[in-house]
Amino acid sequence: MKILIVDDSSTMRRIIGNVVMQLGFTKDDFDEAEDGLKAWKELSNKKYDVILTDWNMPNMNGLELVKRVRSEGAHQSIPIIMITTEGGKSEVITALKAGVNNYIVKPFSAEILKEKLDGVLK
Amino acid sequence: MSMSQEEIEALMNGLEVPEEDSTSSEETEEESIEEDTPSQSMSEDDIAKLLSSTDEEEEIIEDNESKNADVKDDISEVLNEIDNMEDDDISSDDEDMLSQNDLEEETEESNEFLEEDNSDDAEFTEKAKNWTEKKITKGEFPFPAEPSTKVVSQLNEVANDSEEKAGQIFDVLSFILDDNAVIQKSNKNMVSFLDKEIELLNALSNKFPNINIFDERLKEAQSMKEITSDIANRISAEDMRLFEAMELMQFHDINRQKIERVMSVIRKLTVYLNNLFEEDDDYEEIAVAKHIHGDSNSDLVGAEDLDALIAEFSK
Repeated sequence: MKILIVDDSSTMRRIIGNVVMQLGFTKDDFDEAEDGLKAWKELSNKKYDVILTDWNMPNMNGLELVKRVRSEGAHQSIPIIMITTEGGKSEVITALKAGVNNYIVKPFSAEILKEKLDGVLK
Repeated sequence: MSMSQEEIEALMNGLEVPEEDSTSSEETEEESIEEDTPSQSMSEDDIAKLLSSTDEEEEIIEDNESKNADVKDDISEVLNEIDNMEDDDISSDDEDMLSQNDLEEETEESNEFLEEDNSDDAEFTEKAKNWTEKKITKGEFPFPAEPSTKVVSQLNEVANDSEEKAGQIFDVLSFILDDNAVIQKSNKNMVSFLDKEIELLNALSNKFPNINIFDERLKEAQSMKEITSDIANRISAEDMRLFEAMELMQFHDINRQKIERVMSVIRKLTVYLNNLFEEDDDYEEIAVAKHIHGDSNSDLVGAEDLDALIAEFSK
C-alpha cells in the first residue's frame, strides 16, 4: 500500500502522515509532495494506491492535479481524496466533477480520514 | 659776473683783485650772492668767527651723538634685562607646562561645546520623536512605509515564521511520541519478564505451599505487572493527547490560509486603487492653491483685511 500526500504546508503534510501512521501505516508507506507539479513527477516515477491532496497550492493546484491524473498517465483510476479548507458546496461539487473520490474539510480527525480511506479503498 | 682772464689768473695766483667802484646795481646783487660761496674772499675775523661757530656746531653734534649713544645703550640694556628675565624666570619645563595647560583648557572648552551641542541634538531628536509618535497614535500621521509597517510583507513574514515555528513544535511532539514508543517497548519487555516470573512463582507457590516467600514474591510480581499496565495505559493516553495536539495544529494551516486571503485582498485593493487614481497620459505637476474660499485656515484674509493690506502697500 503506497500513499501520496500532496500539500504545500509542511506542517499539514506531517499531520496527515501522522494520522496515516495512526491508522497502522508506516513512514515507508507514504511519500510527500509540496505542489501538484511535484506530485505529477512522483506519479510518473512510482506506483501509488491512493492520493491525498490539498486544493490551494502554488504552481499546480489540487484541482488541476486531479484533472490531469484523470485525463493522462498511469494513475487514471487511482482513488483521490481531497483534504482542503475549501468547505463551500460549490467547491465540493467542482472537485467531485473533476474526479475526486472523497472530500475532507480541514480540520479533520484521524477517524474521519480512516473512514474515508476505508471507503475509497474498498 | 664774468671774469676776465687776468682776474682768473690773479685768483689762481692768490692775489687779490681790486674791486672796481663803477659797479652796477646788478653787480652789487650778484656780489651779495657770491658772498655765500667759498670762493668768496673772507677776512681773518670772518674766518675766525666761522671757525668758532664751526667748533660750536661740532660740539653740539658731538653732544647729540653722545646723548644718542646713551639712549641706545639704555635700550640695549633694557632689552638685555628682558632677555635675562625670560631666561631666568621661565625654564623649558615651565614653557611645556604652560603650553599643555593652554591645550587642556582649549580641549575642555571644545568638549564642553560639543557636549552641549550633542545634548541639544539628542534633546531635539527625542522631542521630535515623541511628537511624531503622538501624531501617529492620534492617527494624524501615517506610519512610515518601512519594512516593519508594510502590511503585506508583514503578513507574509508572520505566515512564514509561524510555519517555521509550527514545524519546530511538530518536531517536539514527534520526539515525545518516539520517546513514548521506546518506553512502551521497554514496558512490554518488562511485562514479558513479569509474566514469566509470575508463571514461575505461581508454579513454585503451588508446589511448595508451605514456603510463604514464593507466595509473597508472586503477589509482588503481580502488583508490578499492574504498575506496568498502568504505565502502558498512561503512555497510550499521552499519545492520544499528542495526536490531538497534532490535529489541532491543522489550525495553523487554516490560519495561514486566512492570512493569505487577507494578503490577496490587500494586493487586489492596491491594484484597484492604482487603477482608480492613475491617469491615462503622462501628467505634469500642476500648481495648486494653498487657500481657497471655504477653507477654515486661520491664515485666510477677509475682504476688509484685503482692502487694508492693499491700502497699506499703496502708500
